[in-house]
Amino acid sequence: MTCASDVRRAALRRSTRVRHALWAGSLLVSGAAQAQLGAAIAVESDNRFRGVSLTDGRPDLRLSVSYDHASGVFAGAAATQVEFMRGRHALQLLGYTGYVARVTPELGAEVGVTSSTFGGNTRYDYSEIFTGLSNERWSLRAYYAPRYFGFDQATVYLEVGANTVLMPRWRAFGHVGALRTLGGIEGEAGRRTRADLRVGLGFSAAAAVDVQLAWVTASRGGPYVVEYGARRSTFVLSAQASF
Amino acid sequence: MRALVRRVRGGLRAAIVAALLVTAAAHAADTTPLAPDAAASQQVLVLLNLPPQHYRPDSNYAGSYADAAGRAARRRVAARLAREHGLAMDSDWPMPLLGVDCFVMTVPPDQSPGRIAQDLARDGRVAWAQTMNVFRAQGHDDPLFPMQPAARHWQLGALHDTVTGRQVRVAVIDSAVERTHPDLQRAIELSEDFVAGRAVPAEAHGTAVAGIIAAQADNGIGIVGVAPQARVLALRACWQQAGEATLCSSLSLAQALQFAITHDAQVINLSLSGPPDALLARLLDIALGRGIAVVAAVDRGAVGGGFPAAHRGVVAVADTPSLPAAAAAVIAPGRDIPTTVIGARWALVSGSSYAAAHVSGLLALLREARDRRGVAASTVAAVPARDLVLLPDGRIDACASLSRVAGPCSCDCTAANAGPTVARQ
Repeated sequence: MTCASDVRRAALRRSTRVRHALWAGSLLVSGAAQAQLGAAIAVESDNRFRGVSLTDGRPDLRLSVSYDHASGVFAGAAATQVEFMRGRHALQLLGYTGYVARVTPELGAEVGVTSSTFGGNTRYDYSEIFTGLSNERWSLRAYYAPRYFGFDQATVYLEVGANTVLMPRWRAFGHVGALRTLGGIEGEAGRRTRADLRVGLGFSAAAAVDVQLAWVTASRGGPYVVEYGARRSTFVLSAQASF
Repeated sequence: MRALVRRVRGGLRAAIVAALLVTAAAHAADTTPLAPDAAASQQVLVLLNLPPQHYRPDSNYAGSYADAAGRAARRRVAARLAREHGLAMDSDWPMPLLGVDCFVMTVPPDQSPGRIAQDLARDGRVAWAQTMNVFRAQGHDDPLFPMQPAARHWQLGALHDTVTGRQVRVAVIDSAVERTHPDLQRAIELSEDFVAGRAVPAEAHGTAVAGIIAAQADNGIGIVGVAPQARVLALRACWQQAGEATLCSSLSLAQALQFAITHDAQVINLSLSGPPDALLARLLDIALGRGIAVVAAVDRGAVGGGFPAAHRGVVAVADTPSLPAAAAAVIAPGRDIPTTVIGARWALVSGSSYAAAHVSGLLALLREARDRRGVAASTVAAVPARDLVLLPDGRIDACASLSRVAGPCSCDCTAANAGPTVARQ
């Protein structure tokens, strides 16, 4: 059983590397006349992912690149610092690609896949597929991960997000999501589902600099990467500069 | 009693105009050299496709916040396009409703915005590109325009919907016109001085006459000329004496007339009067023979209205219907007229000189209308004033005059001047 599991993990890592190579290839198609290639650097006081801290409540730095083609194909990659346990830092490399089509001039329908690999501890590597609808003001998405953070448990995540302009340069945003395990082990406190909420204010400090202050909270339940010791609710301050 | 009411009304009107004149002068001091419409005429809009919103796992959950990198990418593309076409980036505006980011770029003065826009539109990175068009609210925005008698009696705003005197050359043979006046500087095509040894930068009479004829419209200051797009030949043949009297000589007038004729003036304004003069009469006949409309002010103290008003073929103009000095004179607005004066200011003027200036402007409008219809100049050479339609009391019906030349116009001829009209013979 153990041997079969290791073989399966190795095959999964190989396929992950192939996908990463494909995404890198797609990023190199920047010579296409209608492509838009962007980059950003962000700092935040806590790396909260779906309500859960991936840095044990500590600040993190993120570098990212994004690519959009006029055909609707999009892709990107990000490097983020994570700290599942205090003092044990790792680098999360996240890649994604997808396709978005305009259902109406304002509304887009999308489908795509993300994949994460963790430098120094690849057992957390995982992939996720997603689909959704979004426009300038709101988004509705569903995600499915066959092995969420590398564990033998499939998850589905549903989220709704919205934002509105309060005044020039100021915006309010909100997000609510629910992560549920599908079979396998039960989550924290015997609950399969964990809900998270993020609300806050965004400010465009300059043409390419945005600052956010958000309040993030999560319920008990659902899967965790490790034993979780960070606070359930916290304020997160972040700033992003785009290039 | 009626006379008293008229005087009170006139006094009130003069007071309001005087207040507006002060405001207009103050406004002129703030006028920047480059009008916004001039800047806009050298700009192009470059529209880049905005990708539909989609998931960006590297960003947080704030909708358009997450697209900041995309915005930066489009700015880079726009900056590259600007460099490649030698343009200057001005500003950008996301337009998510249209799915585009709009970038405003300025084209160098020596290049055509239309051609640049066409080149940009062919670029695969660009959704589309176009020139920055300028649209105007209907009606003039010049603050003194409502106070101009011609605005009401001649429905000048409605006339300008059809004609503005575009490219019609009007020779103002008078004292020196202030070329730098903010309401005149674009109207003056050239100026010449025929007064020997008395060079001055500007004088009152010529500046006032030129303003009535061709002051710029829709520049947010001052007045509107009767023919705001006419080209003025400012020909100084007169000089200002102490006590505001303005004098001219046969020689200086003859030189100026000759210059006007040889430089293809289509209307000659002579807001002056004197004794019959053989030299000038010959030149006037040549001008009239070439189809040039000659307009002169009536001198009520002189026999027959004075010379050149009494000269055959010249359009003689008086400023009031109550005291027609010459039987053949037409009547045009000439009392309490706001117009340009030296020192980049405006003031009220009265007299037949300014009534004549109104008619010169109107004939410039009619000339443009004739040119548009393709009527040869020679057909109007003998009697250019025949286009003028008069009311029984000698006042000009400007709308009917234009309708006669150009066909039905947007103005309501009956509203302004109730009663029958007659064509001038």
